[in-house]
Amino acid sequence: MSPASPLTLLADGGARQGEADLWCSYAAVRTLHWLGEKPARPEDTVAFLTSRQNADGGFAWQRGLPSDVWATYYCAQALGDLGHPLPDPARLADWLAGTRTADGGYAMTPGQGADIWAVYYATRVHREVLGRPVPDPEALGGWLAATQHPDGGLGWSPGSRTPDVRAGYYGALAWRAAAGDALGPWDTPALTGWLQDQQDTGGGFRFGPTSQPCAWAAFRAVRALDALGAAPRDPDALRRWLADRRLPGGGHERWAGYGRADVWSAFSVVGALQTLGDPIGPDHRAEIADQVRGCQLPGSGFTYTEPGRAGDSLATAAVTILTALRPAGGPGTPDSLVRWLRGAHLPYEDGVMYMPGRGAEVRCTLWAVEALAAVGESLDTERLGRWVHGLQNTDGGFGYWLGRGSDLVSTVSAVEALAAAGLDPAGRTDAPAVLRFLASCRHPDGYGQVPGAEPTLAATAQAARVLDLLGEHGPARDLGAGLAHRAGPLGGFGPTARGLPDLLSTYQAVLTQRVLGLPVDLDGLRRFLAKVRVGSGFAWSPLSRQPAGLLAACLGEQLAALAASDAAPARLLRLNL
Amino acid sequence: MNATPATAAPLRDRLREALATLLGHPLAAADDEVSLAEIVPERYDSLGVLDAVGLVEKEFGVPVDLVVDDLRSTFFSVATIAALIERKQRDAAVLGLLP
Repeated sequence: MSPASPLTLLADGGARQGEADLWCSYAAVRTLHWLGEKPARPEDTVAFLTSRQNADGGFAWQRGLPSDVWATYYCAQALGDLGHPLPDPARLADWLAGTRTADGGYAMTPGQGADIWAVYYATRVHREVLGRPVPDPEALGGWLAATQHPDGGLGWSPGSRTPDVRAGYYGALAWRAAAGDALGPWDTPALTGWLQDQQDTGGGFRFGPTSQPCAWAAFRAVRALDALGAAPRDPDALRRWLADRRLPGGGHERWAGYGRADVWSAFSVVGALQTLGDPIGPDHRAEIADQVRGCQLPGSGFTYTEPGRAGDSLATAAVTILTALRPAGGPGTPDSLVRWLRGAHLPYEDGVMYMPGRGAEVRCTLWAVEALAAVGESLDTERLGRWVHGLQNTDGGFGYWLGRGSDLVSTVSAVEALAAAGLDPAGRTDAPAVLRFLASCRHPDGYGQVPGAEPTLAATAQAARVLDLLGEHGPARDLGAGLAHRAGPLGGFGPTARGLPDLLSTYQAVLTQRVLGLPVDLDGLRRFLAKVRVGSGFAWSPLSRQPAGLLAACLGEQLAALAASDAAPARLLRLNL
Repeated sequence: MNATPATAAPLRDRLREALATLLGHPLAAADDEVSLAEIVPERYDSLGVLDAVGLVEKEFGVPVDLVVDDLRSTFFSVATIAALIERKQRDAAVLGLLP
């Protein structure tokens, strides 16, 4: 879509990317499997899942991204539920070995620090997908034991600030995958007691003492307790709370008053009832299965609700930005887009989630902040600042979401989200620790996504912007000035030296040059854009003849506006992927 | 390969000289029809072809599409590259796109 294209929004007022979502697809397939059902078109879901596998044997959240343990578990488990053999398990096992960390845990990708999400996914892939024992369970036990807080709950990693029901679930299930019924490495009564304490007076469970009850927390708590050989203190109250989440039109809501059914609520409610040992009657089962099957996209996997009203924050932000690029005097930005983005700042977490009802994510938060700023709107900046502050890991970096290990793009997105919201990044983060994490990603030729990773142009360009925002102006400028030498012969920038240019790398390089006040080769930019413009959209690569969708259009149109404006260069928004 | 129009000689001379500088290897007119990968194998690999595409775009002002223009045949030799430039310049003239 170009700024001049007619705007078609979804029934929920937002927009969505064309592809299915991996986490939704896993949750849908798993729920149907638990109910003894299948998707209406299982072969389409198998094709969607297998298309995420990389040459290293692991799977990625989206095609073209590097493998991570999160995506690998979800793809492999869902393929298993669909009765499809896992392609190339030996190669997957080799890749998985590279995610083990020296401290005994597992990381999402090789080179990252360990976090409890990754530990959970990796141990389950070992045990349930590959059918192999988890190597060195003693070292794993030591790592897991160090996640326990004095009050008994588990945190995201050793030294993390807050315990969380989800961390308790991931830890308990990881230990069971590694050691079966052997006594856990924690003070188990204290952990069990802390988890039971998260049941509130209404019967529901919450992630921690200060949050509100939700179905996700209920499922994670009851399953964690079960793995620890325990149960909620008042299971009947939990049963009543779950029954109250059932909606008259079919399906369940995530929390009281939310009023909408989605794939995750079905997953959480079915999982909780199954763990409680409660049979689900035939009518109830058929109702849930119908609701879940209705979330499948034609020829693909699943989204979180009916596709016609399944907006996501990245696509909605992209469309909002595209409307802001329209010539003055044309149609303005529809209010529904602003409402959708502001509504994505949900009450139970202070960042913006990718899809309603999901946990907040840092890149989505940045896109929402920048999109709203582009049309003169904003989020609640105090809540945003609080969320970013709480997201910082003990190594100084930030991960995609709460508790996830640090990487460079998340760290940059967190710092830039603060700046874009008008908050001082140096005052809202532990800035020296951010710089230390950044230094750990440094390489003689630039910066990599995680410590030890090969440098990429995008990571290098992003690192320069963070250095600048945290007051390291000289090093930022030196790094930024070096980008010009990395321009390829075709006019844009590629991920590695002399690599084929792509839209994402080019956007990052040009954005950094603009932010740092460095010259931009506009002739080269125009030559590159001519190669990736396809009809009214943009492709990510000059080798593709297919428009890549709203996110590519958003980046491409901003670059095109810049390339067309020698006299009054347009501002590029701080957007990372 | 097609016979080269006589009017193309200055363009081809310019191109040959620019490619020789880019590839760091002298190129003779007698070798215009010979594969560049054969003449300069250490430089004219897939990345060398992209360098040549960039050179053609900058020096001759014609856009090259990496898919539609089938680089394996159009960037085969000095003669085939020159033919591509001529065709694109003719098309641009017909469409009124030349400066």
